[in-house]
Amino acid sequence: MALTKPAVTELRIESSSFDLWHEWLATYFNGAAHGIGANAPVLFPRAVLRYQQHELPKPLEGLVNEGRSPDGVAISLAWVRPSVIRYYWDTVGGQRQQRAFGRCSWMFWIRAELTDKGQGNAKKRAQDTGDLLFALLQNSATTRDLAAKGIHRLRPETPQLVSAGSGSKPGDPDYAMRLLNCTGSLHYAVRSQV
Amino acid sequence: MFRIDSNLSGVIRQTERLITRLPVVLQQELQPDKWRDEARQLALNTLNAIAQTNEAAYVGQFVATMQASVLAGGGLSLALKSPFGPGATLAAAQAAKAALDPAAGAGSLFLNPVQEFEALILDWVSTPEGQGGKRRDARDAGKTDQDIADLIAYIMLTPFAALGWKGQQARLKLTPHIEAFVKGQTAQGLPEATVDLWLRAVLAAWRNLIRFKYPERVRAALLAQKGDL
Repeated sequence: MALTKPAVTELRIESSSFDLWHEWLATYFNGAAHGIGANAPVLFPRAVLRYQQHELPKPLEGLVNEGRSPDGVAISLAWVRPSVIRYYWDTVGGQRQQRAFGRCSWMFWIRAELTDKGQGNAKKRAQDTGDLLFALLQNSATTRDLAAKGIHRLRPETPQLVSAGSGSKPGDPDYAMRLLNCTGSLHYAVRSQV
Repeated sequence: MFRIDSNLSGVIRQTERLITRLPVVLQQELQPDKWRDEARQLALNTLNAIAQTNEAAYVGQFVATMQASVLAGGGLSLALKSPFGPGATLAAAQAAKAALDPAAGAGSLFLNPVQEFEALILDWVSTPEGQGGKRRDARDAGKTDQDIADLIAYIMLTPFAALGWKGQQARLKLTPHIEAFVKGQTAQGLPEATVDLWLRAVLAAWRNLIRFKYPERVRAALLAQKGDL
């Protein structure tokens, strides 16, 4: 599956990379079964996807047309932007073209929230979603489309627990949260240097 | 005729200069001014990313409490606390007091929770009883609020076993009243579980920031001084 969003551009480094992440994540976390590598297809939850400045709906669980997740799952992305940009020259389409790259780190906040106590376990849902995301990010075949658009060298860490969320205490919003850190690099053309 | 030259002595001299320079650079790159803005922005992005619709309005108040400072003995301290009440609960203040080294002075990591708790006690003593403040009795006669607060803070923060029998009894009686006052102070705003989650999330994000960027900055600083090495 090729991504349709434009490649990372020097004019919109942050938003262009987040657009690509959105399209890529939405391809997998859509409530359908997907194969990762040679594994048999597994069912992915349908997740609400958010990027830095956009808050999550409350309750998280609900109808898709209301912007909620029927599985009560959300993935929010924030990043540690690159501070050092390095440059190199490459031949692109027969022309010498300066290109740039910078290392950065993305934080995927995985949140699971269940409003009906009888239907499952938010902790398990967050754990499963985090594991699936980790499996996707560490697989060069599933991340090839991102690399083709300028998001390279992804190195995810296994998801860490931030909050278990028991749902048993008054005031407890019954959510579980995991954090998956992933380093990588952004590559883009410096067109002004052509 | 063969002649063999070696630059080994030059390499050794350069390495010696690097060994001398490295600790200085490591410390320089931890200056709070170099991290404050980025840490604040990351806290903002993180909280915005995890906040839900009804919680988003509180993000700015949380981020406004952020402090970046130098740790005693060298190091960087980034701190965030709940804007809804005292950041230091009783248990946190007691743990901080036990770990506090008086010699570390104002730069100690553990000083802040203790001072915040002492301020809370003074606040409790100064608040009228009808609003959840301390009930005055004959023992308080002739004492200033500060005197009373100092004594109570001593009773609450001294290790239990180190208190005499009277002190221990006083601690047991005071604890529920102080906890009720703290609860009243934090009742507005977000649920306790959400406050806890937000603080943990920002801590995790900052950890990621430092782990990712600190080596990069040290490397860049050393490269900038390459000509001097």
